[in-house]
Amino acid sequence: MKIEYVNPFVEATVHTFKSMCGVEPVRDGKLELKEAGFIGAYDLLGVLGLSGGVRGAILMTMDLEVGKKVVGAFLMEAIPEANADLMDGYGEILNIIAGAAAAKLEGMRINLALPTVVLGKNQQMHAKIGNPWVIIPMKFPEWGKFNIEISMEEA
Amino acid sequence: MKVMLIDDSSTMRKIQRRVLEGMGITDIVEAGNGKEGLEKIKEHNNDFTFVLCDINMPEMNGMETLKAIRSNPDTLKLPVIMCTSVAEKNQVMEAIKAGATNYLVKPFQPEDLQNKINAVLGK
Repeated sequence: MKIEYVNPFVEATVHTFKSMCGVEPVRDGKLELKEAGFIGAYDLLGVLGLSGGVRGAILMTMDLEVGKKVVGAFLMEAIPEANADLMDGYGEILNIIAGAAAAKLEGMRINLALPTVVLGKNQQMHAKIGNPWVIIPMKFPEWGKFNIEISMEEA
Repeated sequence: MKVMLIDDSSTMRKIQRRVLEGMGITDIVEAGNGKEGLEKIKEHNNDFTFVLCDINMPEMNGMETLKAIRSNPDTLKLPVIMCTSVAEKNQVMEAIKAGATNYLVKPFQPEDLQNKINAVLGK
């Protein structure tokens, strides 16, 4: 995983939330490289596979309460509880971020899979040896923390 | 004026519907993928002013849908605006070559969608 892949994903994340949710997230601490083993996640976890010129995935995770505010802003409707709109909107936001990042990595011919979103407490993801993940801690100053996590290698 | 919205995201369809309704367009038919969209276009006797179509969808994606619309003599001239997170130049060019009338990349502002629609309507 090359470090130059990180910025396009950060820029795409900021641009997407600014454009579609009216909020501007910022970086919140140092990047973390996870070579192998379990990676903790917040309640809401969305993952989207990347293929074509690369193999890998992008993951976005945040607390349920933060997710409700984010998707509520996206939809311009309050999300009072975990429901179909929350799960669908969360996946669509991730899809838009991945598409915007892929466009910034022009020439890598990145194809996007369909997003999958899961909700639950104490979730953990497992990184396999050879597929390291870069964890990018971010936060919405108004709402709270979230992570963008990327694992990507040229195919 | 009748519009077909094809997008697998129900929240994105809600956002698009709100923009259309704000433009006074209220006769809107929705589909969650290309296959369902083509079936509904046929059900409504091809009577749509334009189609707003996502690309990344299950079952039948937006490129396959666009090609099916362009290869059917009954829908050959039906305007299709691709509204998608797929933003790589090559993929945009591929959609234009396949007959997309216009192309809007997500994320977008409501005015961006309104402008694309007005361009298709010749306004």
